[in-house]
Amino acid sequence: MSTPVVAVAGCPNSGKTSLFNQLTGARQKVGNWPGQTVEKYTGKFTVAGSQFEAVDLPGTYGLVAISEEEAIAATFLAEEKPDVVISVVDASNLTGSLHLVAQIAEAGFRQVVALNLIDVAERRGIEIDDSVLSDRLGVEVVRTVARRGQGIDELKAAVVRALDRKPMQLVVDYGAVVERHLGGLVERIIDRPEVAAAQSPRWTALQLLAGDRGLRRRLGSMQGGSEVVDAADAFRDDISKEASSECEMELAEHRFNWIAGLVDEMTGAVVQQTTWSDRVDRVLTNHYFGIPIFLVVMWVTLRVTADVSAPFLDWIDATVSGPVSRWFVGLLDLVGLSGGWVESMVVDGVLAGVGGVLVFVPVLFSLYLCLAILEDSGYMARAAAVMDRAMRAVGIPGKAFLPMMVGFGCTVPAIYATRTLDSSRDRLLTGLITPFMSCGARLPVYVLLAAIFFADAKGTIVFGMYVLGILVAVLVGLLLSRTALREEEPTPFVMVMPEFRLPNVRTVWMLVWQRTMAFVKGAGTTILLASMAVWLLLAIPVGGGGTFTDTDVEESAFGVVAKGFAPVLDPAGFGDWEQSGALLTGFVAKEVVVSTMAQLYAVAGEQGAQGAPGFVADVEEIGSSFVAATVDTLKAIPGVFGLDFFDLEDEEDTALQAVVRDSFEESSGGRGSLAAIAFMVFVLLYTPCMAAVGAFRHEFGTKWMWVSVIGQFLIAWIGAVIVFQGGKFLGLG
Amino acid sequence: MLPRRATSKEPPADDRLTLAEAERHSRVRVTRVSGRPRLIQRLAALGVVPGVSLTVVRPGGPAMVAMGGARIAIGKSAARSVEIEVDEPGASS
Repeated sequence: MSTPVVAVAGCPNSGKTSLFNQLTGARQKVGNWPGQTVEKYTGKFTVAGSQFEAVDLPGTYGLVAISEEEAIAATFLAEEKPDVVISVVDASNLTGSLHLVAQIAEAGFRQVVALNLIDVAERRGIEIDDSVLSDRLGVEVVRTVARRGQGIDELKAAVVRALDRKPMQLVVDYGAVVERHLGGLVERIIDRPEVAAAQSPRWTALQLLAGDRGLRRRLGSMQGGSEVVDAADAFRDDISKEASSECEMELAEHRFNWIAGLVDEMTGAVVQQTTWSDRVDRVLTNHYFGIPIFLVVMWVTLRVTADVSAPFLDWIDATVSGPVSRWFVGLLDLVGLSGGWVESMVVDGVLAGVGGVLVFVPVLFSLYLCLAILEDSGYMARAAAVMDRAMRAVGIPGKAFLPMMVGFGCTVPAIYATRTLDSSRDRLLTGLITPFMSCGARLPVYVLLAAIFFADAKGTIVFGMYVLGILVAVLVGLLLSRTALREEEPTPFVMVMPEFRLPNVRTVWMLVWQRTMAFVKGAGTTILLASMAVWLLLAIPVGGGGTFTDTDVEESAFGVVAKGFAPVLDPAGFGDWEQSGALLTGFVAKEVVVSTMAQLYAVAGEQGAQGAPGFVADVEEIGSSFVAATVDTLKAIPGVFGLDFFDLEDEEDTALQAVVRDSFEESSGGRGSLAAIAFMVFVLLYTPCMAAVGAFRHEFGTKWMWVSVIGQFLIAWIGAVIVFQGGKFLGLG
Repeated sequence: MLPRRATSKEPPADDRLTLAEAERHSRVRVTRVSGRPRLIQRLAALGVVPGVSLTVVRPGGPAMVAMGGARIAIGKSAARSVEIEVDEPGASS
C-alpha cells in the first residue's frame, strides 16, 4: 500500500503552519505546487509503525477560491483526493473556521478536526463542548495548542483511526428553493458518468452553484462537463430570481445559519467583549493617526534593514574577497592550476558571483525579519486596511503594499508576493510597479556616486532616490489603471484582521528563512551565471593583441558590446563605454554595477597586493571580524531611532572615486554631478535584474514580461534624459 | 442579468441602512448583501451573510466589525453593499 496522504487545511491565522511543523518536525520538503510558484511544504510522520505523508495547504476561508493562493488548496483537495484531511479550527473564532470544515465534510473527505488555540478560547471564557461537533460531522475532534505541541500525539492517533473509517458526507439543508434546483442539477450530473465519478454529485452541484471557477475549468475537460456547467448557470439564475438574492449568498446564508446553530450548541451564548486588541486597533487604524503611524513603522523598518545589515555585509564581502579567495588560489596551486584561466574563472567569475549573492543575504534577512515580525504580530493586515483608501485613489489595492515593501529588499520575492492579491488585474498592476521600488542592490550605486559628487548631502540624495521610485510607481500605477488596466470591477477591500499577539519565534524564523532562501536559490543562480557570463565576455579578446583571459577590457568582447550601446545613453550625460558597460552588467544584476565599474576602470587590483597570511590567521581574522560586525550592529540599533537618515560611511576606495569623478565630468562635458544624478535615476528605474525578469515571466507570461522590460527601459531613459537635459537647460551641474 | 439594488454607484435609499453608516459600538444584523460576484464570494466565505450579528468596532471606511471571535475590515464601497438593521444603537461619540 502506498503512503497515505494527509492534507492540513485551515484558515489563515488558525495556527495551521505551527501544527504542520509540529506534526512533521524537521522532516519537511519544499517543492512547488504544479504550475505554481507558491511553495508546497510536505513532510512525513510515523504513527505506530505506519508512515504518512503530510501536505500543508495554503490558508483559505472556504473552498470557493477567490485568490490564486486559495485556489491551490481547493484544487489539491479536488484533484489529489488526500486520504485524510486535518482541519485546523481556531477555537476562539468557531464561526469563521467552521465554514471550511463544513465544506470539507460536504465534499465527503475523511476528516479530523484539530480544535486549535484552545488556550486562547479558554482565556476568553469560551467553553466548548466538542462532542456536538463530532456527532454532527461524524469526525473526531482533538484539542490542540499547536505552538506548544499539545495534542499532537492524540491528533496522529486520530488520523490513523480516521483512515479505517468509511468517508461520510455531510448534508446541510439549503432550504426549499435551493434544494429543488440542486436536485435538478444533481440529476444532470448523474447522467454524465465521467462528471459523476469525479466527486460526489451533490458536492459538484453545490460548488457549481457557488460559482467556483476552478471546478468550471476542470469540468471543461470532461465529457459532458460543459453541458453541466451551462445547466448550472441556468439554475443559478433561477435561484437568484426566486430567492431574490444572489445564488452564492443564498447558499452561504443557509450554511452559516447551520453553523450558527452548531456553535450555539457547542458554546452556549457567548457574551461578546471588546478585547485589548480592539483598543489597540482604534489607535493604529485611527482616521488621523493611522497613516502617520504606518509611515513611522515603515521608516523604522527600512532603517533597521540598512543599519543592522551593513556591518555583516562588509564582513561577508571582506571574507569572500580576502581569505576565501586566497584559499581557493592556494588549493588550485596544490593541483598545479594556479595563475591560468582556471584561477581567473574561479576567483573573478565564480567567487565574485557567490560573493555578490551572499552580500545581499544580511540586507534581505533583516528586512524579512522586520516584515515577518510585523506580519505575525497582526500589524500588516492593519497597514493594508489603513493604506487601502489612499492607494485605491491611484488604482492600487491596499493589499499591494506588502509586495511593494518586500520590493525594497529584493524585487524577486516581491513579484512572488503578489500572489496574495485577489484579482489577476491587481496582481499584474502590482507586478508592473513593484520593480520601481528601489531594491537593496541599487543602494551601493547611489552610495558611491553620492559620496563622490554630493559628499555633504549623501543621505538626502539616497533618500530622494527611494522617494522618486515610489513616485514613479504611483504615476505608472495611475497611468495603467486609467488605460490598459482599467478596472471593470474594483476588488473591494474585505480582509480578516488577525488578533494582535506577540510574534512567535518559530513562525517568524520560518518566514524569514523561506523568503531568504527563495532569493538565494532564485536570484542566486542567475547572479552566479551572470557573473560567469561577464567574466567570459571580458576574457574573450576581439581586437588588439590579447589572448584569452589576458586582454585589455576595452578590446574584449564586453568592451565592444558596451561601446555599441554607449551612444544611446549619450543624451543622458553618461555615454562613456565604461558607464554603459556597468549598466549592461546591471541588467543582469544591479549589485554588480559598482564592481563592474571598479573592474572597468581597472582599479580593483589593489586588494590582492597585500601579503598572504596563513590559514590560521585567516580563520582568526574571519572570526574576529564577525564579532566586530556583531558589535557594530548592536551599536547601530540605537542610531535607528536617531534623526540621521542613511548616515552612510565612505568606504569605497578613493582611487575608484577619483576615476569615476573624472569619467562623469568627461562624459557630460563638465556637468559631472548632473550626469551622476541622471545615472542614479537610470539605475533606479531600469530593469532590476534578470532574476526579476524571470520571476515576472513565470508569473505573468512572456508578453507582459516584454511590456515590463521595454517599459522600464524607456521610463529609465526618459527619466535620465529629462534630468540631464533639464538640468543643463536650467544651468545646473 | 439580475436587477441590482443598492450598488455603490447609487446612494442607498433612506429606508435602507448599510454598514457604511453604522455607528461605533452598535450591534447590527445583516439583512441583505448584494453586489459584484467577487465581493459576494469574499463576504460569503467570511460569513458576512444575511442573518448574522455584527458589532461595529470602528465605523467608517474601512469599517471594522466583530463577528464571533473574528475582526473583519470592510472597505467603504464594500460596506455600502451590506444592508443592516440596528439591534442595539451604539455610542455616538
